[in-house]
Amino acid sequence: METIRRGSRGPLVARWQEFLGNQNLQNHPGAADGIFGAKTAAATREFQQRHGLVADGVVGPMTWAQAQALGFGGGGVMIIEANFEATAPNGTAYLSWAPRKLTLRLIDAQGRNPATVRLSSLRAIPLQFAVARTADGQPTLDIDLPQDSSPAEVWISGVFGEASTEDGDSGYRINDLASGVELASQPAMVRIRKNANRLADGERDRFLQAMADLNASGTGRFRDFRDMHVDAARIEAHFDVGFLPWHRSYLLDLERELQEIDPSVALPYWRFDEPAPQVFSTDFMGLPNSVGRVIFEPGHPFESWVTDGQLGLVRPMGFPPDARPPVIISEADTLALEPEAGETKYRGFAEMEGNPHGIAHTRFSLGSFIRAIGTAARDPLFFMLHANVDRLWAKWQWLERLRNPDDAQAFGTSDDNRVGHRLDDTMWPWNQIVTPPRPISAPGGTLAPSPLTPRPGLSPMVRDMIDYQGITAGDPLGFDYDDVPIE
Amino acid sequence: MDIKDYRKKHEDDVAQARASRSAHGAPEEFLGRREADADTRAKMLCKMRMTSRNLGELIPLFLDILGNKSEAVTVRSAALDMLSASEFAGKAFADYRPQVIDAVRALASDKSPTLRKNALEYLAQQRDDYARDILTAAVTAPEEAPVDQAKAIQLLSLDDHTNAADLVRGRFEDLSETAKEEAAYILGTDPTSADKLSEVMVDKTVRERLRRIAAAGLKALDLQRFAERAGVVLVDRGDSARLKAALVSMAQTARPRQNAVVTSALDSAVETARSRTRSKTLKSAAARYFAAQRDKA
Repeated sequence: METIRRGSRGPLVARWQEFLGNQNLQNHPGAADGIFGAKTAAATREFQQRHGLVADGVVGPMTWAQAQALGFGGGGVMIIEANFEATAPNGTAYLSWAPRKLTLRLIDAQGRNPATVRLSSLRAIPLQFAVARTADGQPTLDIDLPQDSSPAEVWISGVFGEASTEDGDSGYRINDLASGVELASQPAMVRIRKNANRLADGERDRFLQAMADLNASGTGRFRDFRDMHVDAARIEAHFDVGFLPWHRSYLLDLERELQEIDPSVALPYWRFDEPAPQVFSTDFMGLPNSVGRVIFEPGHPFESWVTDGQLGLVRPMGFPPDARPPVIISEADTLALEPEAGETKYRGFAEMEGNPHGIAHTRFSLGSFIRAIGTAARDPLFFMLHANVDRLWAKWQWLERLRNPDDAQAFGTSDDNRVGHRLDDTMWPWNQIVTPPRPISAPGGTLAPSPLTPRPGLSPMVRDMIDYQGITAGDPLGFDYDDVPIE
Repeated sequence: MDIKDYRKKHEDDVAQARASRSAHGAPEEFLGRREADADTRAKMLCKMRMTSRNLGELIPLFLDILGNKSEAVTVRSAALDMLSASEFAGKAFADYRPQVIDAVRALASDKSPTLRKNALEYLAQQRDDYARDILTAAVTAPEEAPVDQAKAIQLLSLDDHTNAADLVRGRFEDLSETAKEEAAYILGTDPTSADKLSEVMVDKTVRERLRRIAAAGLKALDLQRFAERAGVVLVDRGDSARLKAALVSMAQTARPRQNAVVTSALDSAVETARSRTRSKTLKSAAARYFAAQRDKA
């Protein structure tokens, strides 16, 4: 059996703590939480002392032997170790449609040969399981763990169409197939970017609170996001082929900051080619008064929204709040955009920067923050608008099967060979370059890292934003959309 | 969900969209329909297919329409709308920006009040001097202004070359209710206005919405004073539950920065408000306030 000591963690530690708890020791090990801390160490030393062993607090072969002589592990239950790569510091796993790896190791077979375990969903929101990295997992999976304790891999993902609405409403369990005893479990959330018009009240409120906390009445980190999208830097992010990757990176950076505040939050999208009466209401994105000032319900987190040293939002609407905004082309028409002769497919699609993207910005009347590039990021609706732009790109990538940045059709060529718009260019501001031709400042620092995935790195290149599901890149970027599957 | 069926549906939708695409949306179509009524022409203008490749053809057309005084107001408004949208469509807009500004400035003295207002709104967002002067006059002499006082105050606040706070501070009491609200948004981040905001926040003769704006502003300016004043409102049995709920929510959002200033007095005031009220909104706000306190402890 594996040696454990202070600092060790895992199911074996939990079993050891349970065992010590039944030994009538003066030093109780505390809760069987699987964390070998000071209390467990003290209880271990007392146990060792009592049985004439070296009282060093380390559970090695001699101590295991004594424990087994007293009945430790006599229940015939396997001991395994499970490490899931998509685990956040709070212990919950955050998944999307992209499969993530769970590594299993057999610690003590307890005579089981084969040591077969079954993986299944723990709660109402289902997961799917596979032995290879595939989008076609199964609701349950039986797997034989190697007797020599070498690692076995299982791939886990959310089930397309079945997203979580709150933290921990999903999860997986691992059972000993022979006895049915649960060996391990972990709560999870299938955290997905959703249509803002269909959010549950709790999802909406958590998103609003996280945004308000990030803004902190103008003193919070939101200021950097506002400062990244200004007139002086417009060519970094617009009017060329880098428009879509830049904004994908921008949204990812913001979303990760929100998840630092509340890990259950995913950025919702405003589906601007459909009516969205839930979005344009006083308990969500607000409604304008007679002069276009956005009004919220009393107590709404955005009542204290401050940007550019000014309180409040201005967004007179150019359409009724329960109607589809006029002139914006539909999703089907957007996905149908085609290139001109000699252009790549991506280049044709990227014309969506004009319509629907630009048209969506200008469906709000003159004076709206969101109507001009230089002021649009003052309005939190801007991020939901761009989440829909990104969703359309993601859907186009899925439909056209163009997720590999090395596929020429998956990207395009900058007309002016402009820096920041070529595949292997890093992107401002995350590259922190402030020498010409880049802008003279780079707010916000590097891109926010994630505890769930190493991609895209602190200073991503344009190419890093193309394969967001990790189909060829291996690791995903950590988000998915409710209506864009993985294949 | 069967992904293959899902894919097939999308592929069919896209194929249909491609098949039904026509010359609809080309400038020639608009130019060929001069006899159509204004609404139809405005709609045709808005449906023009605008890409980075054809901006050089479209922007001059929009400018012509905007400057054509014999054209209907709705069509000229649509042209201004499309000029705003073309700013997003491609870098070519930058070459036309000076002409656009000139054309819109000319609109600021048009005989149509709609176009004058649209022009001022556009120019204010561009921080234009000409608009600034007209809007300042609208605040000081509202009877003759092309936009109402509240809107003028709001548009001036977009321009950081204007000290809008100076303009509204001295005449706050004389402003209309809506204009007072707009003024409060501006004073809400003016350091010299903390006293005024503090006074408005607790004044029960003032409209509740104005009090909430004042509270949000005071919170941004002076957290300690906000906490003290919020405490006064919360324990006042005669004050509005809706307002109290709003103050509790504001206090909650400020919590991460409030460690030094959120006194037990405020916590006690929130608890007092919660225990005395039947308002579900206020009870929920208080519950969230204390839950946030536990989460951050």
